[in-house]
Amino acid sequence: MNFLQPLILWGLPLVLVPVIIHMLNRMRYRTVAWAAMMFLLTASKQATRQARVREWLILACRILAVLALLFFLARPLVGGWLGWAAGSAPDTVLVLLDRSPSMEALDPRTHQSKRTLVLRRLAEAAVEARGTSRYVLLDSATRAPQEVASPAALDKLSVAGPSDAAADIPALLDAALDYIQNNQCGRTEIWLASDLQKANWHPDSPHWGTVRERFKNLPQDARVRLLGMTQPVQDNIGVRVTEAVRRRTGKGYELQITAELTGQGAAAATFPLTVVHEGARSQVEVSFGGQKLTTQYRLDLGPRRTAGWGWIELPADANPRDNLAFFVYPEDLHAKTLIVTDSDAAAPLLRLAAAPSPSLLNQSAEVQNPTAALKLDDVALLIWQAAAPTGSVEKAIQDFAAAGGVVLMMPTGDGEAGKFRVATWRNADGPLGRTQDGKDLPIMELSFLKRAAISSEGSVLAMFDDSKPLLTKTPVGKGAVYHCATLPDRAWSSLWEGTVLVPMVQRMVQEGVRRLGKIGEADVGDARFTRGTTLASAESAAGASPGNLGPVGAGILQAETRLVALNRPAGEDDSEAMGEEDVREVFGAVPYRLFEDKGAEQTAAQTEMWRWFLILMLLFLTIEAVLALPTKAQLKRWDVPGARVEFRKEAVPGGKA
Amino acid sequence: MQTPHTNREFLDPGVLGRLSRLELRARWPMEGNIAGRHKSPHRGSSVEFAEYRKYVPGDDPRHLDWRVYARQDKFFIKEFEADTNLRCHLVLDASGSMAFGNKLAYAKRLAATLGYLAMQQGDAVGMITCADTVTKDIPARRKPAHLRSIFDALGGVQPKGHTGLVAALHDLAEKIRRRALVCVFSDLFHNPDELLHCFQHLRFRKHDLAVFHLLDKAEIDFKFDRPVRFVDMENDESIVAEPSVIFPKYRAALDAYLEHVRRGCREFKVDYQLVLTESNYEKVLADFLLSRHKG
Repeated sequence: MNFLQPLILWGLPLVLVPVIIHMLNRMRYRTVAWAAMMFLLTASKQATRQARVREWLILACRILAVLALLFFLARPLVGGWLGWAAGSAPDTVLVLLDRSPSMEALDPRTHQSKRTLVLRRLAEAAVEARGTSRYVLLDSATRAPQEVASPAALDKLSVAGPSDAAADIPALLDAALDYIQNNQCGRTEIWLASDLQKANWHPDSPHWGTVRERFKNLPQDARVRLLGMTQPVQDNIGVRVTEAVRRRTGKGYELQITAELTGQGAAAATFPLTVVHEGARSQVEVSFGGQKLTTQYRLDLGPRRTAGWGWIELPADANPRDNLAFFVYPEDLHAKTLIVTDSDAAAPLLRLAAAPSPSLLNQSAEVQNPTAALKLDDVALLIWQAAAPTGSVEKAIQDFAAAGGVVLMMPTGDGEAGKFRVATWRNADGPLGRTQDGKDLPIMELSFLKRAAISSEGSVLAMFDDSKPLLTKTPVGKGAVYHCATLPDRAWSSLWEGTVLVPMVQRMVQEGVRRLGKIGEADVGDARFTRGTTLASAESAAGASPGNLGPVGAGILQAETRLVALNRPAGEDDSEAMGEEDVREVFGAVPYRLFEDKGAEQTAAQTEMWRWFLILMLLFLTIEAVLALPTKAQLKRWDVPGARVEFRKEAVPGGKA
Repeated sequence: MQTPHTNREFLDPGVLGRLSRLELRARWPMEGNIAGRHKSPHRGSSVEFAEYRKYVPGDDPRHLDWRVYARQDKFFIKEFEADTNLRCHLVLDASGSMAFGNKLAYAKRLAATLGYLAMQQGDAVGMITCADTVTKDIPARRKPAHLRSIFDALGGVQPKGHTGLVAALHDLAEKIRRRALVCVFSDLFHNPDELLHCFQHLRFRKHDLAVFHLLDKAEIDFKFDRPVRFVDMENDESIVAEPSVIFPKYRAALDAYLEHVRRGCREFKVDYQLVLTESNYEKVLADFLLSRHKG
């Protein structure tokens, strides 16, 4: 708790005044000669605890009333951002600003983004501090310290503007600690403003241990004041392109874009989804249920074989920063599949599924023995149907997958015999997704006679009726490793018929071939893609010149011969926030204070804090007055039954009645 | 030799004149030695017929009812009620507590006026004053000059010490053999059970007991607005108390005590008068005398 008039607190000893008056009152007794002592002694012995408690309560009420009066005069600011700065000013204030896209969510009342609101609060706090502190800004996108002449100008700095880069809060604190150590700051306060998004705070990161240790070892006094902008976001929908692939059609090519829409406090609605392909705009109506939606959009590319780019755009909502999703798609590439097997039974079918029409689809497939050396440079899909790889082979396959390649692991050996059926599978997207005309693959018609157990813990894409997996996917780096529980072999399953096998393998090939293209997809802030020509950005989406993306903006970047789509990190769509307990855990022994700004209403209430003390004072005085009122017994007048006497106003004993 | 006290401020001639029209009557038959205004347990020579009884040898033949003999041929003695005088013993509590307010002065007024009225109607009057012990013991006499001794003694009474009233009343109950009227003037600040026990003792000895219970209004109202050190007027013990805190308990104890005494007096047929010293003593005495007329 801080105070706008802290000098008033010097009057705190005044709370002893009621006690002193009480004691003086007790000591200032007069002496009376008394006859009816026998009743007095009885009454004194029976002076109940209740009467004493009442007396102490009255005294306590008086003390608390004086205390409330002092607090009222001192104008307390409890928990507020303004209240932070009311103490003595530190030598240096490091302002750590979370510039992640989630900070661009608009407050429904003020229609200002969290970031703007934070900057205003920081400026107000700096003004209230009235100190001679030095202000240094570190933003989450660049993590470069920048001294600020006047905190009021914070919102005019470009490094305090919006960005599409994720914030790494432990890294930001690390940068702040670097600054403190390198610049020999005196007493320092770190003002950290963030929306406490878990994806940015990385509560499980070991980095926090380092941060805590560094804080502990700081020679100077440093403390963290954390402003958590945790007001929930309403009516926001974010979009993300999960896949943009080129497909061959009878006439040429088409682009298939798979987009994922995520809602935050959004109601079900129908709105237009704009798809922009190299400047050409087209729209499609989307019915959104409010939670999550995966939708596909197809664009006819004609005979075009080169790579391309574009973006998907949503109408304006509570956070404009997640309404754009940029994508790139590769040129028409030769898709090579390498089938490593020691069995002759499944190899021909797998080869056929991987390259059903080599000349038309620009595809090829090779079969080789597990003992042969692996050459994966130009391979899109690796199908492994042999004993589990070990040593260098295993390492090579891991590297292949991490670089964007796709691996399909198939069983070997005898397997478990029986009669199995598929119960459920993921038909929204992926290898078993619906066909172009929206029909499900005939997976339910498959019959299985043998299967092998899948030891991988990837996400299950298809499941038998006894809940054992048929197909799983384990993301590895940019690629993926699929595990299939059966073989396209008559002894194993009816997968050999090809109705499911061919589209499944073809989709895996398309997924893997992207690795070979001269395109890239990266999160904003990826150090590999900081230079190049900006082809599209949020500005170009708004009709302006694309400008220069720099390290903080999403868009399309042409780096030499490569096309790169830079998007906000996936974690930004996860609205899970750190709780107070999480914050306490990550900071450990680091001195910090958290204030959660949950909206404009609460901010207004903080300025009214002194009124509560006024009300408290009145409440205590009222209670004191009620307690001090004479009891019924004390109010009882002279009423002794049986006294056969009359009184006169001026009683003169012995006089006439 | 003691100097007689000539202070007579407790006597008001006007009050004496007005009250002398009223008679001090005993509620129970008294045993006097001369004819008087009060009923006697014995048969006497008053004009009020009492009863017939059979003649026994030795009876005075003058009391034979000849008319009855003429009708029934039997001797019957016609008896009449005997009227006698009474002995009035005034018992004045002179303990330290009677110094509170004007309780002692008030008691003196009541005692002196009652003594005067009794003496005026030919009754014998005696007086006992007691503090720790009996300080004055004036036997009952009916000579008007005796009244002077009583007034002198009243004028010299000074309050001091503990209340020895209970012991004094027990002694009195044993000492006076004939039935008498005993009037007690006290604040009765004593154990109520012991008090009632001595009242019972007096009533057992067939005495007519009248108790004037004197209280000061301040003792009931207990009006103090700040802590007070109360000093016992009988033994100098003191207690510091917050009046507002202990008042309810004080008042409850006082009420319980008064109720106890009142109930005990009713049980033992004691003529109990609770008197506030703020009240007009003439009216108190007038009510007292009239209530005795009604029986």
